[in-house]
Amino acid sequence: MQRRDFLKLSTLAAGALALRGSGPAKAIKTPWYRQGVRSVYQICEGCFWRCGIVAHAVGNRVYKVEGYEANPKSRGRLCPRGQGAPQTTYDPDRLKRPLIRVEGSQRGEGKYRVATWEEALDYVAQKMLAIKEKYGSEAIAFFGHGTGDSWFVDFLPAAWGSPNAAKPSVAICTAPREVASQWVFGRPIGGHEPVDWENARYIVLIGHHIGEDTHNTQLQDFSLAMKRGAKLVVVDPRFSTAAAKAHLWLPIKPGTDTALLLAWIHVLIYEDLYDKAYVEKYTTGFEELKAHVKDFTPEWAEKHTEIPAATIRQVAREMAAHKPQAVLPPTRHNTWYGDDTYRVMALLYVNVLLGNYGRKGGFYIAQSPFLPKYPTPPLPLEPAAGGCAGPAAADTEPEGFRPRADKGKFFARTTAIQELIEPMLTGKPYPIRGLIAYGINLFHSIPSVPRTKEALKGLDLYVAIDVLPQEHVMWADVILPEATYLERYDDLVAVAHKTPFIQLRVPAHEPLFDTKPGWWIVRELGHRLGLGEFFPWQTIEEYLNTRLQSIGFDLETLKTMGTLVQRGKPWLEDWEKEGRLPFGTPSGKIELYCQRFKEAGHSPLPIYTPPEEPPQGYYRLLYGRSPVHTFARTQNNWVLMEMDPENEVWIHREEAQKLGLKNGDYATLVNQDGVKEGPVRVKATERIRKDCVYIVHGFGHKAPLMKIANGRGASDAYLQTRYKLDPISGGAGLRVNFVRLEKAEKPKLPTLNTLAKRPFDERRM
Amino acid sequence: MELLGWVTASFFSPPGEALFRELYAGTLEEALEELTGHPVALPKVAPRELQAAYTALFVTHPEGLPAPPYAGYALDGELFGPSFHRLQELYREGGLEVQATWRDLPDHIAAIGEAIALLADKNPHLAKRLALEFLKPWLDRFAPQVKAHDPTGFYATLVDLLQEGIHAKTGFSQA
Repeated sequence: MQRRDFLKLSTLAAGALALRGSGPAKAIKTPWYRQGVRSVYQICEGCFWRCGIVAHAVGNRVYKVEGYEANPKSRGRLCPRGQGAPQTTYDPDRLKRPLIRVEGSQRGEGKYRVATWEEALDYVAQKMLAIKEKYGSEAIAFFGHGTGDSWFVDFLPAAWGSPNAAKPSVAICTAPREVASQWVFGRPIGGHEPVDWENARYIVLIGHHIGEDTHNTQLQDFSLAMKRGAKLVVVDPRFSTAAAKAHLWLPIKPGTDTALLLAWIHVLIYEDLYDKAYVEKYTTGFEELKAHVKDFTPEWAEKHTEIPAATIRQVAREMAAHKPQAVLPPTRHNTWYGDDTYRVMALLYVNVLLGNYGRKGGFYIAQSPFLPKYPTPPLPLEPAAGGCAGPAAADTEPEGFRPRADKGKFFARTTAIQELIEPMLTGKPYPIRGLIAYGINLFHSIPSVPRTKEALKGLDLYVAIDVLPQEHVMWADVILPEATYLERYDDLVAVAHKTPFIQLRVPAHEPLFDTKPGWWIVRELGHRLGLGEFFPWQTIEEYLNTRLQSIGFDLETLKTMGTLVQRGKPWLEDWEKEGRLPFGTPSGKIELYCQRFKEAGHSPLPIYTPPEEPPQGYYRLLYGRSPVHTFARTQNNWVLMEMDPENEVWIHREEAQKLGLKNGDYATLVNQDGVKEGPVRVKATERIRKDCVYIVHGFGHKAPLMKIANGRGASDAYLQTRYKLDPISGGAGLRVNFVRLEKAEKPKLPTLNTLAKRPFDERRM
Repeated sequence: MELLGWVTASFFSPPGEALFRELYAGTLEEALEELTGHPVALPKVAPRELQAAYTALFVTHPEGLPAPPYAGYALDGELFGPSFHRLQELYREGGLEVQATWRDLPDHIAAIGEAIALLADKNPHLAKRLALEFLKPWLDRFAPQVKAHDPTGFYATLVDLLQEGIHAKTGFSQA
């Protein structure tokens, strides 16, 4: 063959380049910040706190991100996760092109072929429509997590007609506190916890890992409170980072927090220490509560909690002495033991008795900013997934639609994500045959991984929309690679706050590789599904501008500001000036006795259930967070892994000695069902009780493609083969698993120095 | 040099119908024969398997992406590193612009192959530099990985032939 003939084959080639004429022989070398820097207002995706940031880019690379003062989330500051997050965009392991699983291969085998977006979306749409035809629209479930989840887990399923939409941020995280708050205050806690940290003078943290579970603004506020001399009590089986700052650490027996809270209620009431005027004016049900806690004395609680009765009394009296500037902030993740709604109710009741809700130094009343939705025809269903702020949907289904597949199991309106796995396996109460998973790590968030894998195997369609090839992604039939946060617009983020505000995300550069923004993917899919009427906008700019114009604003102006702050009504007096109260309960007041719970067959007042004891030789498995990692999402980020490369199993030094383990040894964790995790490094310490062990969540990845994350540490999620359901909220209590430790060899992994010097190369060897 | 470029560009783009047609017709083997100066027999692989192999080697693989197809990555251990920018300077020098329709990075091996082909007549010195300073280091770095992880043997054979081709066209052999 002649070379000239071969050139005829040039249609085979990449089509990457074109000859235009010579440029300069040598470009002038200048540092990035002296080149054409483009700066845009962005929203960090390092965690779900979503701080407002500015991203500075040259060409297709962001070189710097920073907070900005006008944004109430970041206030000009940014945490390590925020600083490290851009690395994901330039990670060669990220998903780059739409992929379709090779016909005949098995889910989990990981055999894919590159596809065009048209082909991939057509494939998904055809499969979805076939499932709908055979089983109904509700036979497709939508799971998601992240800023873009509003498109895939709220909007699309509502337009499509499936109530089976869920986020782990509900039933695996905040469901109990949101349900409790709804029925005590008639208001959500919300994603940005409305605690007036900076004015608090006495703070009691119960299982609250501030400083480890770090959210930028919270930590700034907490630091300010400490600087101003606030006293801090930390109730935790472990001497946490916050405990190190406390004037009192109460190493409570795990699972007995409700007993402690009931005893505090008892002391506040029976020692006449509560805010009588507040309770009189703003609450109902006080007499029932008083009668309920009559026998829950500190002496009774001591037997359960192993905290001395005198200490319980002392703290209650100190709280009362500081009221209303004494506060017990709710934790974010609070699905612990299956009786969690009651624990949070009791926690909120203590706050109420201190008269701090709607008062400085306690809770402010958060309001959502005014921002109408984009005008579309009415969606067939209301979005059902909820989020950190709990359920958004009404509790009734329109005619012709089935209720959620988890409905009837719980009192709550929230969707319990883990309860949607069972219908995939059993077809009951009806079959779920398809799953669209957006940004959620199925194997690190939903308990009982083997059950989840079994469910995935049987589906007719499983689609993953993601940025990184995490293990669960490589099970999908179709993988749709999303542009990262730096490369895309998203919907406006409206934050309920002391000063409600709206944040904007503007792409810093074009999407790299053949990736697309979520809004584009969902719109294209929507049109293919025959849902075009619900996606009438042509561009995202038009969509955003229309929403902003509805409040007398516009996109171009917001692009110059990043954040639009509105006025709030954070204090009770703000509401009383208008002649009303903020409580959305049936009585219009704070309810210390829940009639609706009683009508549904539950106790109307918080009750304490002693936890199951660990079997002989086992320890209760506790888990928490690292300040530089976000769930299981960031363990492939070399910038963050350089700071925190593996988790450790905390065990009391004496227990470790009994097992022949010392600090720095490695151990395998074996749970009550024989599931093994690790090896994980041992932290033998006096900073934890003897009946439990502790690991940071998010490690122990099993996707070899994620070379930095793979094989480092142990996964708590894989050890959570069972969970205890909270019958009220649908939350999955996860602290009901036990482990024993077996000494193990240190795993052979690249050293930290290697990671820091050559971030990717060495891991490819 | 031109042929080396087109062959590289053709084989390192995602395999589709056009590639399968030419493989079936034997024209690509003929091109490789002209490049290396000896008979070539590429393994016969079903299109579906070839697509899966390409994805697994160069796009996404559940057990580790063996050969990220970016020259800058092979040289620097990171994307958008100094070599990436140096390559862009050479593109500018050669009057090459990245097409808006190209949905990958400019230092993708297929793009470099295309650049070599386009510059072969106009600026042979620059084409040779691209081959020696970018294509060859990528092959030196990742050919062993391709050979170790290619389930079809197709790409394993190809990287050997390309290394031969570079030697034939530039006089430089494998390091």
